[in-house]
Amino acid sequence: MTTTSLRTQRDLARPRRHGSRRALFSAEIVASIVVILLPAIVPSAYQLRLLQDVAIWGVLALSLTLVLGYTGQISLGQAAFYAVGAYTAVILQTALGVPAPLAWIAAILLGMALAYAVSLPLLRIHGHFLALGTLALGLIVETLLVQLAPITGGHDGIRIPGSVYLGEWVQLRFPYIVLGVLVASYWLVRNLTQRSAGRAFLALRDDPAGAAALGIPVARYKTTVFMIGGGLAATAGVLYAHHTQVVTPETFGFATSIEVLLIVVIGGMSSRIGAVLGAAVVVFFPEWLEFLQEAENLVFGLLVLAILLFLPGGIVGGLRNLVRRLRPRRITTEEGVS
Amino acid sequence: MSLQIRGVTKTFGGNTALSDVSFDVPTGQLTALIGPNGAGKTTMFNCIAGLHRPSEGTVLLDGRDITGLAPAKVLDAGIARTFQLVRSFRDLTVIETIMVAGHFRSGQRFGNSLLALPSVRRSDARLETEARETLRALGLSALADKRVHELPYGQQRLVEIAKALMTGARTLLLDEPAAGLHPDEALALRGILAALRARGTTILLVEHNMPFVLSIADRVVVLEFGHKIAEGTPEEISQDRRVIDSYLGKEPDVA
Repeated sequence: MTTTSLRTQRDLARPRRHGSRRALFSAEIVASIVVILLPAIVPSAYQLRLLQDVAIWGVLALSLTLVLGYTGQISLGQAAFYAVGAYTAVILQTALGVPAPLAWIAAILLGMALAYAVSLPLLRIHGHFLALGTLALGLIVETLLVQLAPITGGHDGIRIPGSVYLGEWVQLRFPYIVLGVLVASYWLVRNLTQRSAGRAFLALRDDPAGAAALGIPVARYKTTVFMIGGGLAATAGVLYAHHTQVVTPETFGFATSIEVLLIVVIGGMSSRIGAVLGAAVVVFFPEWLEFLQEAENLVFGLLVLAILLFLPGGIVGGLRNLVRRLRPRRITTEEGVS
Repeated sequence: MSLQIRGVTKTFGGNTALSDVSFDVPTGQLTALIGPNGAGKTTMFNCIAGLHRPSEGTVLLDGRDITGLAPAKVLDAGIARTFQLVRSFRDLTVIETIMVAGHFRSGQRFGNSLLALPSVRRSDARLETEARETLRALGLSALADKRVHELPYGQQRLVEIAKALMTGARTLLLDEPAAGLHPDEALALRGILAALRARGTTILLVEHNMPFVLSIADRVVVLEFGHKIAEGTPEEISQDRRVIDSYLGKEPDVA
């Protein structure tokens, strides 16, 4: 299967010495606070927009990291849940006058419900077939967004001005919400994967029958993870809708699902922080390469190719190998003591 | 109390893999199931572990009918099995693999994991302690941070046993644990099985290696073409005419 042939890198779930666990925990707390406060120190509105782009892609990528990186369910249809989240939030607020917080919750729940519904038939298929199945889901949703024009606005989409639906006060502070949600999503995936449940995910990913023989409820875990992934993608959709203040079908197409996959692979397949770093690469690099004009796409493509070729574990995998090489070798003796 | 097999028959289409087989696996003892290839040994394992549902007959564990329960339920009832083919989770180290085997009884689920409750941290610490103890009992402590698929074959088989132990099951079904082992590895395995039995673990093993079986088993059950042809102590079995004719006789070098 595709996932097992890719070399993966993941954090934690591995028993560690107490000290390093604590140090990591402190680092996670500090980083979380810094990230949430980033909008306060970003110099320009333009960079603030990029920052939110990274955060939204980061939440989307975290959803795929959980689903693909941890439980081996390849999804080429994450954009479908992203779309359901965005459109549900927008339609509920603009057409039905539902208050924003309720609309957001409803959007996330609907994303989860859709993921649960499709996970039942999808459980029966694996590998390439699962990729095609989820791809089909993405195409169906994309088509519906165009065809159900009376509800979705068709190609024109729906506008949702922040000042009207969120109010000036919230609209001004929306970047904090976006980054706060990114941090919350990170912690959600982290908590779910860092201990026994996370190891069970990796076990059922690598050998479902072997995991089942050890009493791991493989089908139920896969379904539940897929559902949580759908909820996270829908959450990203809600953020996107309010961030851009308009939703149109082309945002939620096949290209988006592929870009999420690209982020996850660039960052490191089973790495939570990799999902965020990968999102930063995909958002910032094209910006930095803008001076290249026509050659921009080419150079960015080569860069991605280089990462895939030389860092099969993604950015996080590469960093980890570097650290391992720099660190003195005394790990085995320490493990013997603990 | 014990694991009791009562009149188990298993047919696949027109083929009868097991025909009215009955025997007991007494608690705290090591019972060996032997027989030539195709005798129905692995089918019997699968009938007990829930991979097959017997066509007829019952499987009782401490008097409770566990016939045809799903594998997870059988595990829950206290029976764990190893496989002939070693199974490995590529991304997990040995210690993590063993800890996975304790997951279903760890109490760690989606809800409490998401909230990172203190109970989850304690449960994980307990899992790790138990896994390290299990590794130590099997002499595998030094391999804790290796990957299972990197280990030599003999040690992979021991990891399989460690996983079965970590499930907390009191009854182990071991499918050819000595297959492919060097004589000194087989000797070490014998010591480990004896130690497990001393701890009160009930063991049923399928094995081809006759000297190994005769040296360690409390009781031996012999199958041939799906029928039980003999049952008794290793001494009785090694002197049983039918067994010698059909099985042992083909191996004159048996110790």
